[in-house]
Order: sequence, then C-alpha cells, then structure tokens
Amino acid sequence: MRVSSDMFYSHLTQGLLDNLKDMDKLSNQIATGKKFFKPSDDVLGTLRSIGYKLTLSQNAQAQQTITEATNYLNYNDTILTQLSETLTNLKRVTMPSGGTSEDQAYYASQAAALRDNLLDFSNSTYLNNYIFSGSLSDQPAYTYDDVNHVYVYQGDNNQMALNLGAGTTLKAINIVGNSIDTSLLSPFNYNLVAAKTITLPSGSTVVFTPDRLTSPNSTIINVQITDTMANVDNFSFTNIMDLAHLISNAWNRVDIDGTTALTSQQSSDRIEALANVLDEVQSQVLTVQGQLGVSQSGINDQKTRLTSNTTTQQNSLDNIQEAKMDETIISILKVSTALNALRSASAKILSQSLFDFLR
Amino acid sequence: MSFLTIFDIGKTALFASQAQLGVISNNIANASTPGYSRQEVILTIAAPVSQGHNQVVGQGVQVAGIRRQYDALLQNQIDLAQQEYGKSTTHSQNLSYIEQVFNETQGIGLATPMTDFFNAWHEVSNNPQGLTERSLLLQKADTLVNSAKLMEQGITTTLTQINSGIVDTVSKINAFATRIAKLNEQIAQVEAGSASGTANDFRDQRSEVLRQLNSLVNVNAWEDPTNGTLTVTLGNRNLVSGSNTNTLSAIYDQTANYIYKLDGIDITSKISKGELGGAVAASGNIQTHLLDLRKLVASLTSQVNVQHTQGYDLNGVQGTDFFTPIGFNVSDNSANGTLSATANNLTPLTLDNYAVTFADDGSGGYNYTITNSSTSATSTAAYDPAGTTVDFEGIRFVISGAVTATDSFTVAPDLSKAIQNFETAITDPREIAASSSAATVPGDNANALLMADIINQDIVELNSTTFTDYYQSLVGQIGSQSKTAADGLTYNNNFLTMLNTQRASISGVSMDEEAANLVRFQRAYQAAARLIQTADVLFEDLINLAGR
Repeated sequence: MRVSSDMFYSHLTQGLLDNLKDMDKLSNQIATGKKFFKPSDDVLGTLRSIGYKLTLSQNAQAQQTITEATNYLNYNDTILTQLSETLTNLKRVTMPSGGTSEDQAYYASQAAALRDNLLDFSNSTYLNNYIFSGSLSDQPAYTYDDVNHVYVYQGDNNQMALNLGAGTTLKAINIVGNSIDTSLLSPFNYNLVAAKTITLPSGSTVVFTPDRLTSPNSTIINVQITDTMANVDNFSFTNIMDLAHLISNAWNRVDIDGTTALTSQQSSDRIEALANVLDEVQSQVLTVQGQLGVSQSGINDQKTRLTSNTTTQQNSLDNIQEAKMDETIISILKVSTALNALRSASAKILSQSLFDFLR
Repeated sequence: MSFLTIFDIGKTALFASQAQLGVISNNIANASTPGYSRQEVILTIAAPVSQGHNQVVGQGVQVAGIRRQYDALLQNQIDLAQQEYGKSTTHSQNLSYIEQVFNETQGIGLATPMTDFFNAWHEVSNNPQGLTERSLLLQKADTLVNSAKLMEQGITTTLTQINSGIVDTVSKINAFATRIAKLNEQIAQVEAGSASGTANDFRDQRSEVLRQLNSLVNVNAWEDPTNGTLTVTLGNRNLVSGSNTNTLSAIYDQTANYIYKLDGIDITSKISKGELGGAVAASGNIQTHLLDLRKLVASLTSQVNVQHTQGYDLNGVQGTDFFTPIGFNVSDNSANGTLSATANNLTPLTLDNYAVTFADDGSGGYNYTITNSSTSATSTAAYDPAGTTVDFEGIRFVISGAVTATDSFTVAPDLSKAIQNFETAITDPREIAASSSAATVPGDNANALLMADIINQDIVELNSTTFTDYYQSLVGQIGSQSKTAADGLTYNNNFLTMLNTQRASISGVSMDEEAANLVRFQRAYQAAARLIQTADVLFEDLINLAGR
C-alpha cells in the first residue's frame, strides 16, 4: 500500500485526538469523582441515579417529618405527664375529709389553682398551634363560659395524619381535647361508655350517665347522688376543668355557680364521687400516653427502615455514579503513557522527509 | 542519423524532464490541498523515423499527457459516506445540546424541582397552618415553573439555532451548486476537442465541491461522458445541469417546520442525509421531546389544580387553580359556525383532542357529535343554531351558527403554551388549600397529604405512569438518542477516515516520493542537457574539422 504524507498526518492527529479525548474524560472523572457527565454517557446509570436520588429526596423529607413528629409527640408526652401529676395533686385535695373551714378554703383554693393549671395544659401550644383543638388549632381548646360556669371545648375531633414516606401513613398524630367518639380517648374528658353506679362510703349512691352532644362536640356526664335519706343532688360536668371546679366549689360548699349553697353531706359526697372519676381519668391519661408511645414506636421503626433504605439507596447511587479513583488513576497513567509515546513518535516521523537528506 | 537528431532527442528529453519537474512542483505545492489528486506525467516513446537500410531510429520521448491519480468508485463511496457523516454530525451535535437541558447527572432538569415541589406539600401537611411552610411551597412552585421555562427556552433556542443553520445550509447548497455549474463550464471548455487533455485541477476542485455538497445534503451526481459536465440531482430534481442551476429554498410552514422546494417542487420528504438531513431529523426528535415535556407540565398543571380545587384554604374558602390552567385551541372548519371551549370541570379533564361533527337529522336540523379522538367516547344530541352548550369530559363547548354536515371543529388543549403560560396562580400563602373542608381549617392537612401524594399517582394522560417515571423515560429517550447519534457519528467518522485513507493512498502526495522523483528528474534533466552539450561539442568538432 502506498503511503502518502497526509496519511501520516491524519493517522497521527486522529491518534492524538482519541488519546486526548480519553484523557479529558478521565481527568473529568478525577476532578468530579463522577463516572458519567451526561445521560448518553450511561443511559441506564443516569435513569437509575434519578430513581435513587428521588427516593433519597423523599426519604430525607420523610425523615424531616419523622423528626417533627417525634418532637411533637415528645411535647405531647411532656404535657400529659404534667397533666397526670396535676390530676394526682387534685386527687390529694379530695382525700381529706372534714377539717376546719380554713382547711376547706385552702383545699378549695388548691383545687381552683389546679383547675387553672389543667386549663393551661389543655390550651398548650406547639409552634403557635393549640395541640388539643383538633383541626381548629388556631383557637384554644377550652374557654370558660362565665354564664354557665363551665369549660367549653372549642375544637373538633379531627386527627391529623402524617406521611412518613414509602406509603407509610401515621394516623392520629394529635390528641383531641374532647370527643363524643368513645373509641377516641381524650385526657381531658371522662370517657364513660355507659351509665355507671357506685356507692360511696357514706352510703350515698352515685349514678354517672353520659350524654353525648354533637354541638358542642362533647360528652356531658350527668351525676346524680342519692344519699341515705333519699336526698338527691344532680349536677354535671364535661371535662376535668369542670371537675376541678366542682371540687373547689364543693370545698367551699357551693354549687358550680359559686352561689348556691350545698349541704355538708352534698359537698363531701360530691368530692368523693368526683375523686372516683379522677381515678378513671388518670387511667385514661396513662392510656393516651401509652398510645403516644405506640405511635412513637411506629415512628422509630419507620425511621430505622428509612435510615436503612437511605443507606442502601445511597450506596447504590455511589456505586453507579461515583468513579473508582484507583482504576481512574491507573487508566490515566496508561493513556498518558500512550499519549507521550505517540507524541514522541509523531515528532520524529513528521519532522523529517527525504528532502532533509538531500544535499 | 545526423547530429541534429541528437539535438532533437535531447530536446524532447529536456522538455519531458521539465514537464515532470513541473508536475512534481505542483504536487508538492498542493500536498495539503483538500481534494487534490496527485498528478503524474504520461510519457510515450516518440514515433521513430526510418532511415533506410533497415535502420529505424528513435526520436526521443513525448509527453502524452498529465494524469491525476483518481479512483472514481472510491470517490463515490466517499461522497455517500460524507452524506452519512454530515447527518451524524448535525444530529449528534443538536441532540447533545438538548441532552444538556435534561442533564440530570449534573442536577440540571426537572426531577429535583418536581420532587422538591411535592416535598414542600409534605412540609405543609406537617404544619398546615404554618405560613412559613406555605411560603416555602410557593417558592418551590416558582422554582418548578422557572425550571420548566428554562428547559423550554433551552430547547426552543436549540430549535432556533437549527432553523438558522438550515437557512445557512440551504444558502451553502445553492452556492456549491453554482460553483459546480461554473466548474462544469470550465471543464467543458478545457476538454472540448481534446482527446487527451483533461482539466485535472478543475475536476479536483469540482470533486471537492461535490464532496462538500454531499456533506450538506443527499445529492446524486453523474457525469456526462460527452462533455465532462456533472449533473447533480436532489430528490429526483436537477440541482445542477451543465452550467445551469435550480435554487433550493426553505419555506417556513404553519407547523413551524421547513418545507424544501427545488425548482418549485416540494422535496421535503427526500431530504434525509447530510447536515440538512441531520438538522431535519434532530429538529423532529427535539420537537417530540418538547411536546413530551409540555405534556408533562400540562398534566402536572391539571392534576395539581384538580386536587387543589378540592381543598380549602386558611380562609375557609374552596381552593382555586394552583397553576394557571391550560387553554384550548379551536380549529374551525365551518363556514358560518362558531365554537368556544373552556374547562369547566377539572376532574374529568383530559389532554386529548376532540372532533365536533354534524349530521343531518332527517327533519331539516342537525345533530352534533363530540368525539374524544383518543378514547372514541362521544356525546351527541340535537344542535340548536341559536346556541348549544355541551359539557363533555370537563370541557364546556359553546357552539352556534348555521352548520352543514360537512362542517367540523377540532378542539385540542393548547400544549404549545403549556410551559409558556405555566405560572403559579396562587400568590397568597393563605390561599393554599391544605384542608379537606371549610370546617376543619386550619389544622386539617388531608388535602395537603393528597397533594403530596400526586407524585406517586399513575397519570392516565402520561401512559399511566407517574410524573417522575414519565420524566425519567423522557431523559432516557434523549440519552439513548444522543448516544445512538454519537455512536453513529463515531462509526461514520471511522468509516470516512478509512475511505479517506484509501483515497490518500491513491491520490495523496508523498513528500518522500516527490523528493525521490525530483532527484530522478533533475538527473534526467541534467542528462538531457549533457546530451545536447555533447552533441554541441561533437558538432563544434566537426565544424572545426571542416574549417581547417
């Protein structure tokens, strides 16, 4: 085959260009740590990396949600612990019997203070939102109706769900302040399913009857105490603030309105009857705390799954798109050697022709 | 044989050597000239002269002609390969531009903004009454909008560049055609009446121009053996015939595509190779990808709006369109009828086209039929020329005016403006509808959760895939096309290089060879001169002898 001068040039320049192209790709890999730089470099790799990145982004979002949910549940738990302690203190106020009028006034003021504490707890806020108002989180869960002398629930019984990623939805993240739904426990009302009768040590009979009202959304517990003399005392409450209010007033020997006088028997029976309810409510608080624990446990499980999944996805993403540095450096050395050899040969071949030898 | 014969023979040798040296210098001068074919002198023995006594004496050497080393078959292969190479170059180059618009490996594209947008809905669902989360969502929506607009801009800019390149290419094709016609004329003049003389340099020039023309478009060429002129055809029409040319023109049509006409005849379908063919192919591919992207954005707009209008905002008001809704294009094929189309129910709304036709009801009136072109679902009833309002698949069709059975309308979602009009319609964070009912505002996050979940839903208009799957598939198609085009370019480049190497082997100039020939013919020239000198000495000796 005849070899012309142009063939030398084109072969050598093509060889140089090919080697430089390889060198450019490898040096890019070293500079960025990535194996490919555009979809056509590795179509499948690109598509997989988009998928992994999408999952990682959704996982990151879910982990953010989990962190927020955990903080929210922890805050709820703290409030419920304090609520439980307050109910214990309220229970203590119901324990003494008799005493001097000063003692009774002291108990009344103690109960009133605890009532106000309970109201504060019921109107707890998290990120400026009332946490026990259901979806109506922009208004306090409870306000005092000074006409009827009762505490009225302002919220609803809607529960907020959260998406924790990978199709996992956490239902009922929030605790409602009151509900007529007996399957939905609230720490602020007495979840009485059916009428209940108890007998007090004084011999008086107490009948608790639930009356569920949709407006306002609350269950009124009607209480009827019949003493041994067949005297009947009727009153009602809907929540633990009402309950504390009743106890405080009972120590002052007045009805819920603060003016209607109660007999000594009525006062002591009321205090004893309500002390009984307090035990039940405290038990409810513990149950709600238990439910929080279950939710937290579910969140922790999901967090573990997400962390594991994130690690796997990240590893897969790295395997697909990250350049292996040792291999890349070796490849650079190989290409560099070939390139230098070609340059050296080119310099020799191109620099001389027969003309250089003609004298 | 006389002394004078020696002079004559020496002279022919001298002239032959001169011609050789001239051709060698031309070869050396054009060693790097594209398209140049090495030339060599054809020598023949001069006709001998009989001098009687059975003596036939040679008369030296004769230059029969100058031949270029040229393989017509190989050149034809190069021309064809040049068409493929030209196409691959333009196709690959333009697809690589588009690939950069969708370069998810560098975080460029829609995947991240789209995911961030739906993640922002998650954030709103975590704290539905939070204005910070709501403002963040609007920011992410704007980022999504801007990303889509930037992508569309990148694609349309590339299309504009392709179109601009097409105009240049057509102009070059016409210039090359004119050049070939001129060279045809020159070759015909040089070779007219000459049995042996060929216009080597003009032919090389014409071959080179033809090669360049082939790199631009898929022409065919054949030479007229009677006068050496080349006829060049494009799409079975003459581009060059002898010294005449026809002008190729590119005319923009209503669909924003070029129609190519040669001598007034539409040859668009015949443009398949060369840079022009590559531009046409790339433009077609890119327009398909642009339509897919617009469809994705239109579908996202529709789905987000549907869900958003089912929720309630912080003011307890039912949600409005989150993004500016897609409009409709109406194609009117009627003499007196009019039709307007507006979206009136987002839930059943599709991205399909609709045909509105009319049929004689047999009693002087007409029935209208609206047909979904994709599903063939129809709605038909009596038509009232005074004004007929039809709600079908989320669109309100208002038709009026006298119609005939041949009248029709086509209603299609205006996908061409799906991204151009893509804007976040909500500006007040309080108007984000995160709740499922007015009564549960502000703490209810049910609608926000459904909004966030849209990213995981299969969308019928997108071949029943999710937004991200559809987008991934789009990136995959672009990546694959770009890879195929780049592989094609590499193959065609290698093939062309191989053919050019073969051509260089035959037609290329070797400096070593020319140097050797230079020495050889320099010596031949010196020998011829010495021959004349010797004859001169002999002749002088003879004259001196006679003068004594």
